Amino acid sequence: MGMSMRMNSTNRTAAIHVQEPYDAIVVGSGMTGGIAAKELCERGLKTLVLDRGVAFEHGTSFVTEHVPPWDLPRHGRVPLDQQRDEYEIQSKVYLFDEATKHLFVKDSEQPYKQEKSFDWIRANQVGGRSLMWARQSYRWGPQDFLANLEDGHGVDWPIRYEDLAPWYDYIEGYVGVSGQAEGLPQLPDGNFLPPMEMTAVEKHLKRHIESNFPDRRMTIGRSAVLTQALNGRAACHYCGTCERGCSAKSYFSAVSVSLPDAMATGNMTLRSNAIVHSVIYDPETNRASGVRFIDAETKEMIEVHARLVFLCASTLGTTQIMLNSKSSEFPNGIANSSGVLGRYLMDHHMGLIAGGRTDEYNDRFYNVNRPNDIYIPRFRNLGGASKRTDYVRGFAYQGSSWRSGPGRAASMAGIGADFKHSFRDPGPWTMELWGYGECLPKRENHCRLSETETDQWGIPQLIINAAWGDNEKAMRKDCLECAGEMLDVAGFKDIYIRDNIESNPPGLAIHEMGTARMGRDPQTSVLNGFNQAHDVPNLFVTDGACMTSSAVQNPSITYMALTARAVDYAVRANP
Amino acid sequence: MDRRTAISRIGVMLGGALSASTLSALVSGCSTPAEEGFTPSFLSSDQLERIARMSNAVIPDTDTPGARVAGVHRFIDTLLAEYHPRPEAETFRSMLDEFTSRHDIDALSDEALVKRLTEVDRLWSAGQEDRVWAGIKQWTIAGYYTSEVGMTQELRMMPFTEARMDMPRSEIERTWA
Repeated sequence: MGMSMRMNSTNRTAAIHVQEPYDAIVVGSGMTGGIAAKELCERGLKTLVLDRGVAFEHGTSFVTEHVPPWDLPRHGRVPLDQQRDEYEIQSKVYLFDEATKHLFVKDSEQPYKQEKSFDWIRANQVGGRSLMWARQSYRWGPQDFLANLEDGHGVDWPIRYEDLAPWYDYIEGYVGVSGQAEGLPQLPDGNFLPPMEMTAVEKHLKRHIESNFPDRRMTIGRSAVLTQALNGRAACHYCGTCERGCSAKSYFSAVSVSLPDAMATGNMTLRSNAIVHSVIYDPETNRASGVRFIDAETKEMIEVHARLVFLCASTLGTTQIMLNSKSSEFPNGIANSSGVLGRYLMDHHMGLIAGGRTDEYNDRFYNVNRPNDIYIPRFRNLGGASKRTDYVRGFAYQGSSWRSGPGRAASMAGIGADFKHSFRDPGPWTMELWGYGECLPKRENHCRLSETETDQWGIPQLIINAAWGDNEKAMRKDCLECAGEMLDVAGFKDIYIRDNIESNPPGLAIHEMGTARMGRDPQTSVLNGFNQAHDVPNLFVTDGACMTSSAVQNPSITYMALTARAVDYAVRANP
Repeated sequence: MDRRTAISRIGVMLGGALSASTLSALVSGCSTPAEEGFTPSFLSSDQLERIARMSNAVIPDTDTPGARVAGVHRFIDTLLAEYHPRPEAETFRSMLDEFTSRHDIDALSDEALVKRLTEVDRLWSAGQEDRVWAGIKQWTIAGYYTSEVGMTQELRMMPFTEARMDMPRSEIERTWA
């Protein structure tokens, strides 16, 4: 039966309940866990999905969906004392407010150690951060899988763009990505739904950028929001607050799409409040025989067994579990014979803001809150004249334009009827660009387990130590200069440029990745080209932990494509 | 919000989870909130009344209701009771009392109050520090334009509809709240 009970010597919980074995266990039910679950279940595997968050269901759990500000007790504000005492890190997220705070963990209840500032943003529910993601979905280009090989930072990727391209096709078709094909080699086109529209001011900027800078392109964001119906999901109705959940299933989340599809197969068992403690290693077979988890409500320690184990618990969550999976064969964490587990932590660097005002287009407007931005793909270090001598890799921009609303009244002179009525007109246009840059994989940027402090479930706390380096800083300077010159040639006024590096430490882009990287050599990497642990053949890691370099594209669609590809391999190879 | 808008909104919600209070607000004809029965959580009744008079001077009744009808003073009481840390709220309260007596607010007719506050606003706009006035003005704007009155009568809520990101301004009667 494969149910032999193995007591971990470090386990302080007396009661261990061994449950029936499954074909596969997936740890985490978010962006990648949802895809892993769906793909495994559709191939007929009885799959147990464990998530440390609270139960959360499509529709019924979307308690703040469409609730207007006046029906929120403080019109959207979270008390300042509570932000400081309970949500010190989570409250830094741009969409943290009264309508979303229940979707984030309380930092006060789930502490971690920052040797240098690192904002670890974590979800509180089944479906994870797929509920609150920004939905931007860009393929990596061929250059991204070659970057480490060519400039020598990090190790070479074990796969190339061509290996992943069919899986991008597949996952985009499933997720539903709206966007405009551009024919750019560095940002390959995908399987797109019709693009969203730009505003008059964005179209103006696009014209001026593309006529003045032949190497630069501006396109509408490629967004996992449906612009036409797909697989029983409705086209977007543009309510503008996706992160509260979408009853129409118009944007992709695990809660609304992949987990329900997995459940519909009849092969998924989903367990919330399941805090995974470690992966169980069987030295006789050199396999992961299952996982141990703690029921967050009863505090019971439970063991479950399976033929395949997929870790999709988020970059740092997955690595914390692996580091805590200690055995005499792997004293420093399961599948860590290389010693690189926990190392080469990356995130995209951001907090680069350039904006300007225009007096034109006062006769143009828009009618909805578009859940999407514009995008200026990377144009540096792509060969030829784009090569820089002061840094390697590159940056891209998201951005948006808007006409100011009545909130501008708070800083304007006046009171009374005329003052009030003057805000019935929209204010002037602002156009902003927000730079995002690639982060080099550095050995010293790492996480490890505390030897002295545990969390409320007895699991060692994670210590994180990461910082931006000289390459990122040099890139930031160029990124802001380029943004300023683009706004300038387009005639924007009162141009402002800000480098908010101090308030944007690693983590806050919420693109943290690396720490269990893929590679060709088992001595310098944790996973092979199929996201399979070099050391433990039935253990797979398909979330951001697997990443060998960071590129600059928003990563979720790549994680999902890698996950679908890894499941396909795992089921066929049956390791 | 008129009932037709309210009902068409429900139509596009596609089974979305509506809070009981939202649903009742949508179908009850979106009536003006009643004043009676409201007990402030932080301010005294006198302080609340002064805030109501001053916020209504910033955003008065015109062809649409002003700040008082929108409940802005109650919103400000809630911010002081629940959003701001208690020591900050207490500091504001004592500054408010000082402001009230310095400007003799209680003795002023509504007309005289508008005159006085116009001068206060002129000095503040010219750069003179005035934390009480800054608070009242900023909270009034924040509260009014997130209230049901401000968002549905004075301005318009963005519809749930097909997107037109580049359309004539003239097709939209009033701007989005």
